[in-house]
Amino acid sequence: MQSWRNSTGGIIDRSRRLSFTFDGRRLAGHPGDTLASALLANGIHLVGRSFKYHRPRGIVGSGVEEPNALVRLGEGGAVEPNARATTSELFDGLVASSQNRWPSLAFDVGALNSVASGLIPAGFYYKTFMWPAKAWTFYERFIRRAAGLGQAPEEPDPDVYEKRFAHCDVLVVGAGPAGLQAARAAAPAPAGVRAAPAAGRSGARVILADEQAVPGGSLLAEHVTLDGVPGQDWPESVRTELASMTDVTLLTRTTVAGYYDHNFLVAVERLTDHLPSGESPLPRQRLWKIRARHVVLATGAIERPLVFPGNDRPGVMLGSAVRAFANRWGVRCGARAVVFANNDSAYRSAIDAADSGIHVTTIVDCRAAPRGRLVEEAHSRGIDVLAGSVIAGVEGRKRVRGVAISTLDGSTPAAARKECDLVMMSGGWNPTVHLASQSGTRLAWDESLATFIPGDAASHQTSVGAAAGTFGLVECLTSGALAGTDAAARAGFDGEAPPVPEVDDDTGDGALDLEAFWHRPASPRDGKAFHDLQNDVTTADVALATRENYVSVEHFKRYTTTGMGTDQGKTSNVNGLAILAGHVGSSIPGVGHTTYRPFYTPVTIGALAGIDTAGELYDPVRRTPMHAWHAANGAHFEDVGQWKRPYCYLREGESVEEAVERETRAVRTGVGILDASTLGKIDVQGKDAAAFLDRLYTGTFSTLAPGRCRYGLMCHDDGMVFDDGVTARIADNRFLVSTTTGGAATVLNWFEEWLQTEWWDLDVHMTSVTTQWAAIAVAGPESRDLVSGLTTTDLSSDAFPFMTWRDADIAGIPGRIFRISFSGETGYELHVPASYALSLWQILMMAGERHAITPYGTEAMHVLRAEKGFIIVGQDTDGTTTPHDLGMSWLVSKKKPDFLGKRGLRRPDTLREDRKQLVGLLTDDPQVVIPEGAHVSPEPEAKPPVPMEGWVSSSYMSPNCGHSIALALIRRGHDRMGESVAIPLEDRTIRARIVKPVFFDEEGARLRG
Amino acid sequence: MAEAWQRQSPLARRSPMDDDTGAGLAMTEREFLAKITVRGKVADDAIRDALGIALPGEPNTACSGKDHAILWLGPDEWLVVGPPDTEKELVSTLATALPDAAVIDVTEGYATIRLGGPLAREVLSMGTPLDLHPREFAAGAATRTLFARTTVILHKISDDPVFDIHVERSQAEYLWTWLETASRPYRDALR
Repeated sequence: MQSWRNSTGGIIDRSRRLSFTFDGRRLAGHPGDTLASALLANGIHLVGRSFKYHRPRGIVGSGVEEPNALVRLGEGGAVEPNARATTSELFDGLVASSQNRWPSLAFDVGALNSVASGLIPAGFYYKTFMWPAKAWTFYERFIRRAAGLGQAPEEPDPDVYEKRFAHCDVLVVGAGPAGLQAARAAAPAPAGVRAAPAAGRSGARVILADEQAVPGGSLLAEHVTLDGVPGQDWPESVRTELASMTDVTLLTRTTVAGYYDHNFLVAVERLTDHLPSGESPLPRQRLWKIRARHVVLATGAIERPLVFPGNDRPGVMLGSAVRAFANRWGVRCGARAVVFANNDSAYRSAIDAADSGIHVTTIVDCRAAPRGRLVEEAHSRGIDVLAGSVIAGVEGRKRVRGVAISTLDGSTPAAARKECDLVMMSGGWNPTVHLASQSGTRLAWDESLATFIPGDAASHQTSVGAAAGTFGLVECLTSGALAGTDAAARAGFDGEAPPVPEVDDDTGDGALDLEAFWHRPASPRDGKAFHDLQNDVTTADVALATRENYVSVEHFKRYTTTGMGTDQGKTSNVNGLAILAGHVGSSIPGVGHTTYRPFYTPVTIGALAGIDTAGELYDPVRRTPMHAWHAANGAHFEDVGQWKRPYCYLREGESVEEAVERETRAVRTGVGILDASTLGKIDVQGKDAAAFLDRLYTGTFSTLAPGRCRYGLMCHDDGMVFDDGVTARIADNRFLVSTTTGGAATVLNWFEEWLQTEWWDLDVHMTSVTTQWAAIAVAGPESRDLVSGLTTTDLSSDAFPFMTWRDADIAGIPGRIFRISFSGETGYELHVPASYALSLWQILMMAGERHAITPYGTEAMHVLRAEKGFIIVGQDTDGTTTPHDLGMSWLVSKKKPDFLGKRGLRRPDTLREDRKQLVGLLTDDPQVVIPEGAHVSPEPEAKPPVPMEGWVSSSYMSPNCGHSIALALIRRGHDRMGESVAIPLEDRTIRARIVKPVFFDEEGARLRG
Repeated sequence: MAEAWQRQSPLARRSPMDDDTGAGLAMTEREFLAKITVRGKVADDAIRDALGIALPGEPNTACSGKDHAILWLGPDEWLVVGPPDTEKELVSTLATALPDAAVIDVTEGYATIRLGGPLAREVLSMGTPLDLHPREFAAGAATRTLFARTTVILHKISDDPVFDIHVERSQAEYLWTWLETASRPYRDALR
């Protein structure tokens, strides 16, 4: 039974009934309802328990400002905690429940906090749980359980989210009267509606965003007419007008939540939150990232509550909210109301409430002599006006039962008692300056409104309407239109303002005639007076913060937690500042305000993540052309940068270790193939290409003949190795540089940086050809036999020696053969255009059958190279390793006049004799494999602190050597061959001997053979 | 010579997406287009003689002829796109015509996805911060830009709209999946 619903009025569809549940109770509402209006229509005010004291709380506001009515929506993974009932649209089947109560909303054990409230004032946590320090982890479990309102869902979010970018000339935030006029003015005129646009005018691109389901803003909650059309219908006619224009985007259910530098704004559009789940295939929410040339902020204003003892009891509501529930949703919020006011707008709420059927008995007005047309109208409706009075206390716990009224000065306490089930409070209006402030616009104090309004705009931005402190409807419509025309003009589009609709004259000029009332000091007996309902902060907490000298506004905020709830203090901040100012004897602007930060209202993590959340789209996966073959043939992949590379290929019943051992042996005994396509390849060409490479590498490439290859090390200017690879000279003016898999992009950037910033006079051009060419390494004693069957190129060592390359036809595919080897075996790297690589791989596998060809992965490659003592940059170097440290002085040219790192290598520090140097380690027990990263100590029995002399960089069981092998960087290592060292681990100490970092075929006979 | 059967395009394992309703999105791979990077000094006349089209001088634009398109990618960098299987001739034509430039075949290094249909701009706006409004990004516009979490060369072929997206080969499947995923709700809505 919606017994509190009027039979007429409002913009709801009474012909349809929507069924929903609240705490399991089945209730009904109508399309157009919010959860809050539907609950109130059913007479439900008590909707939650407060954050700290678990006090019963009811609905306070009618929109985004709501501090109390935070509920849990939905079920399972799609649950949303802390949803504002006042902004949650009702749909059939909506499941809502109250929060922060146990076992039930009506009986909540947590309410004991309220009894003990004297023990838990502001700063309680800071004071109480500081000692003993170790006990924090114990306390924390209980505090975490008690803290917070809603509970985060524990299941994965089943919904889909989206992000998109948008650009516009004019972004209008808020589709109330000012915003609608601004959008009309900025938008290009459609033929026949207004004057035709000037010739050549293409029209400004306009986005109009509003957080509500329908445009209209305050008009939806008022009784006015515009051009003879009811104010509740006029926005729809403007929507129709705007929809007919190209390049005008009207976004409803869209909250502009963040305003960043250079007019970059973030908005969240709720696409399907108002629909039963599964009804639309569209994403649940869409995050808009908008770049606007000019922004019109028509964000309206939020009514300010008054602070008085018991002001948090269910049934104490904002006057404007009661008015909105009556006018927009046809709902009476109570039977008998008392109004508490300090300004004229309260009278409009009182009058509309009375007209909707609520018996408004009294207006308690703290002003000494309220006067004017609205006061007279209130009188004419039989409403008593008690001037110079305040509400001194509220009776009732789960619902207001009555109020105690006293004079403002307190001289006659409890002058009167009025029975009521509804208190409508109106303390003036706070313009919604959040976005303006976020953008960097300073706020200015307006004495007559007793609030902050936007000061000079920090970016291309205009605040209009109530957001700028303008409350008269005509003025809002006029200034909105001007702002729109002006915004379009600034973006380069001429236009004329739309006509301002004729408004019926009962709305007045919007003057509030406000007298500030912040709070009246009361004794604790009167009950708690809350200025921040969501975080349960009282006037007593402000007094305490002041006594403890938390008087800087930022300290005050954090100490009392004023404004730190999910509502960001929309109803509490100004009151809190005012009370603080009173305590410290300053003005409110003197105290200042805290920073408004994005987001204006909470934004779901899903919307911020968009589709880039999981699996494939989380980070690009790079695949080689042979990827599908690898996957189909047992590849166990590892991530190397963004690449997927086979770590090894698992055969039926084989472990990873077994596979690596098998592959490692196969390369030394037969032939193996490795997908080496991921190695970086850079085409370097130009007249100065050789000179360029000479400057970048420690070695010399100008002396390299075309057709030959050379290994090189690259250092940063500090002399430390940062990449390595084999470079082939393709022609006099052309080289193919290879880099590590992970270093490809960095190296190309490094090249470009030097070329563009320092050596721009060189004639050189670089192009990445990493993915142009796929590469297959064929390695092993039988590799020559295998490859020679596929090409007419003479592969004999005389014709095609180690470290040379040839253009070649390979199995009919035009490519290149490089006689290079990272395994220490005779080997060829076959480069073919990427689209032929899979085919070549399969041909090799077929042709290699008689050789028992073995595809091998990165781990076998690592073991093989470690057997040979070949380094991996980034594994055997750590950014503090020079070529000399690696024992590769032979790669550092002594003849070249200069190269990157040359000076660095002459620094005293890089010349120190006790640097860490690359050596091999052989464990005393050949079966023990040292963990990589382990530290090396000279003394096996040393007590902590154990002197450390270096660390193990690579370590494997080598099947080909028959024992474990390791590479390590050890202080003065090159001079300590044969010395014993200890590797102390947590549970044991491994002993090892320092040896040369070559464990297999030291002479390189296999490599060159 | 290599046989055609030996060749596999980067997105050979993905099925093209048709726009059955005419209101959605069509997505296909343009297989084996010849793609040549040109870097260095390029004379407009030489290009005109070689390919019959002008060299785009304006940043982020492309010039297109019957068979070829030239995309401006940097002050000294262009991408020349030609018909499938013409990269060899194209490289030699360009190398001859442009002795002072580096001419590098990148045909195999990039995949090309053609995206068309009324939803195309919307879907692209989910991946790139660029302004794709026809006023700002008209037919003939071309740019190398961030898209989702990769880099693409985006070329607007026509105002229908039709876009060609060149993406580094190894990330072609990522991009395809991304576009498929981003557009799925809207394609579903049209069903």
